[in-house]
Amino acid sequence: MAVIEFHNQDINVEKKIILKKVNLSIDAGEFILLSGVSGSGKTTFINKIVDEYQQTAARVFQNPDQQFTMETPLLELVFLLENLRFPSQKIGQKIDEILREFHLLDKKNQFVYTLSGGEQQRLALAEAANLKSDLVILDEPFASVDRKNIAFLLDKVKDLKKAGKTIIVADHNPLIYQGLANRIFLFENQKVKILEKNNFDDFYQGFRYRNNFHLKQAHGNPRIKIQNLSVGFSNRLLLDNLKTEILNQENVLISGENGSGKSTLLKSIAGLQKYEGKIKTYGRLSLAFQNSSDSFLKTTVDEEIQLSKKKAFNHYLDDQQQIERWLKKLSLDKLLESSVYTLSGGEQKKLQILLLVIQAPEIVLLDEPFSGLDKKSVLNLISLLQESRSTKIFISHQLFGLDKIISSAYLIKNKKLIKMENIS
Amino acid sequence: MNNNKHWKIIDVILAALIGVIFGVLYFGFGLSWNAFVSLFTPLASFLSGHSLASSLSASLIAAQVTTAATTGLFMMAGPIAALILKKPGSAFLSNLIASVVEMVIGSAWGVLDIIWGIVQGAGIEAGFALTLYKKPRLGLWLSIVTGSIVSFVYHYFEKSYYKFDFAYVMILFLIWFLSILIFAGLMDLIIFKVLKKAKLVK
Amino acid sequence: MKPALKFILVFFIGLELAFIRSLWLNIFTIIGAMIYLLFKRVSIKKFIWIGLIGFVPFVGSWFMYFNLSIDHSAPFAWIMALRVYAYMFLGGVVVYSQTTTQLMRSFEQDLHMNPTFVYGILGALNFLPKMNRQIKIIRASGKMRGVRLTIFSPQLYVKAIYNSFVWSNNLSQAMYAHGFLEDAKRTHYQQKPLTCKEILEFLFMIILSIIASLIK
Repeated sequence: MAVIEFHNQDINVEKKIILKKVNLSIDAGEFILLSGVSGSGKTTFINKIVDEYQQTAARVFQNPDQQFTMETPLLELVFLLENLRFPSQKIGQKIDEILREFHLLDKKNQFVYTLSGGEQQRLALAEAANLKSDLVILDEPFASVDRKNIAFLLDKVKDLKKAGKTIIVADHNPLIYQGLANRIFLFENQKVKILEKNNFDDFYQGFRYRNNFHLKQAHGNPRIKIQNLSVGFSNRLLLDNLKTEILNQENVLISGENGSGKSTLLKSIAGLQKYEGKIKTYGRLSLAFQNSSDSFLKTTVDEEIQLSKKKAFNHYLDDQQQIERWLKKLSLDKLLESSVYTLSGGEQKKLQILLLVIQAPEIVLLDEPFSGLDKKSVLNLISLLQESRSTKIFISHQLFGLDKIISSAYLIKNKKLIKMENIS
Repeated sequence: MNNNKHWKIIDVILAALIGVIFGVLYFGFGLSWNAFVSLFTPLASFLSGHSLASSLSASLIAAQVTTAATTGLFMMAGPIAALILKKPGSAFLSNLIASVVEMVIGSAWGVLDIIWGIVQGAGIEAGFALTLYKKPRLGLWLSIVTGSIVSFVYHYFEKSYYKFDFAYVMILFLIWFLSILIFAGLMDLIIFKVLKKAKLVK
Repeated sequence: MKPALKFILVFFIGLELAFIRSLWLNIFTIIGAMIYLLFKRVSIKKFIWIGLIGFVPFVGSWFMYFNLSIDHSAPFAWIMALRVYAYMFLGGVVVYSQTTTQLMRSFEQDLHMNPTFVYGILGALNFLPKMNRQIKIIRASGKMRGVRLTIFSPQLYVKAIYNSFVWSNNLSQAMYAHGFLEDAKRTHYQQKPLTCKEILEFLFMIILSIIASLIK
């Protein structure tokens, strides 16, 4: 029985067509995987379903800021159960039951924002599972979750499927759901393409790729010196006594599991995070925030570019013709007069990096600069970054294309920073 | 934003968040204001040969002038929320939340913050209400007038301005009005225009 | 006393202080609020904090009202000076003796305020630390691009308001995903109905404050 149906329907956001002629239906109890780069319309599609079918569908969001409404797990669940009109006297007992099942009983009164990424998503799924809704929507649910927690959460998702709920998942790494999905909806060029089970193998194959990294010994003056760096977060120690030296014009990759402290390390270097120990930087520094709109200061694309030109620290790329060539290559040339806030997530990312290369500080920190971009855009951005002589530190969970630029690599594991000889 | 009278939860959150922005910033104003007036003025006057007592009271005259001159900063939340949301109550709610936030962070005014928030919010709300929320731009200018009068009259009694020379009080009112005109009026209008250019509001 | 009633009581006394010049009302308010805070085991550090940030306005008010008022009245100066601390300790009663969540839930349960406003406001207030951080990020990113943003830069406000748009959208969706709907009925966890005794206590305190304000 179909619970959701679209008949040749266009889906718009503020009069802008995002998806054309969507024609599909979803049956009760189905497990649907949504795939496609960010900006391809997955979230728009989800919002449309929520709007039209069930405003109070159970949802797990990518971003914990978007997930929680109250301060502690206890208050979160109180709010949820009250909304469901759960009998007052039984709420306390029910909350303990839920927290026990998701191994969160000892976190009951802790502030939500002090929980680890894995704990937060456990709480989120606990809430989704207990909302009396037949439809469960997971939007990039594992983006900041380590492997152990992913396994735990996947088991719970399987339970939901067994209980007959209709499940819709959007994820940039569909490999996690191999064997679970009934159908895959592919979002491409404003269209939704439907893959049946017999086409899955080719689809999953496309997500496996080989990189060919050549790490080399760097020489030159130091740009960043880190000594005895430790960062704690309320009661957990995240980074313990790190030590390293990053040299001029190095292109460094920092990898590590989700939640291991990569972003925290970048923020510490940029002076946006309290830490113990010593960090010395030589030269001007700029951080490309993960949330790219944080980097914008003006209103239109053109104004942003002019600002960066005017305030350029070095002149690696400030010739107008060259800039226009890059604008075209990044498909931003027609958007010069657009508001930076109406650009898609991918366009914002591209603009953010272009501005950074124009401004050219000596040190550039990039926090997930390529997340959600298609392969062509990633390759273009990497060749753009190659034009800059800044020392660059990358955090990226996708390694595609990075082998062309990375010269040294570190791994954060068990709170330590480990220099890597090679990447496999 | 959408249908006018009815408040959806997203509208409440937005109005309150705008209040939070200004509350966080007000606290910055409040602190730097206190530090500046209370340290700089008496020190300057003390060093120039006045007694400590007269230096301190001189500082409070300066403080009253500074209060008047900065009033507008503390009334920026209401008008901008009303311009964005165009709903009855949005100016009041936003201004009230801003002052609650300021008190919670810990300003030197305690409960007075909330009373001020209510008085200022009501004053601004009155201007928008006069146009029945149909002409936000006109409402803004009216709210500058109503906001100035309501807040100054309240201040007149609360701070016992009737104990002071009338001319002095009138000068204070003039500064008061100009401050509100500049910050809550012009500055808010500029912010609104930039938001409009950025296609964030209609 | 129920947090919402306490809030109204504090607000009422605050209004009295604003309009009635009474030494005894000021003194009783300060002592009463201090005893209440001690009773609620509020840490000594917070008392010291209130004492410190109130000191300059306290001394300043005394001299200003003494010198500037036409009759140079010392009792009047004392009233205006002590009032600084009366307001601050009253503020302390609201801020330190309960959480925001308790206060807002009390508005919902005891005074039947519309849940849309209760949870909208509460949700936004919970964003306070994040807003603080966001404003720091905005200023830091300005600095990294060579632009100094001050409280007089419209861009600072524009960017903060942009974030409010994003967050209000996200948070309202999260509310719906918690089963919240405007105008829907809700149950209440650990609700203790408002008792007659509490209402009497409240009225008693109001009357007491009025009497104190009338003592000459």
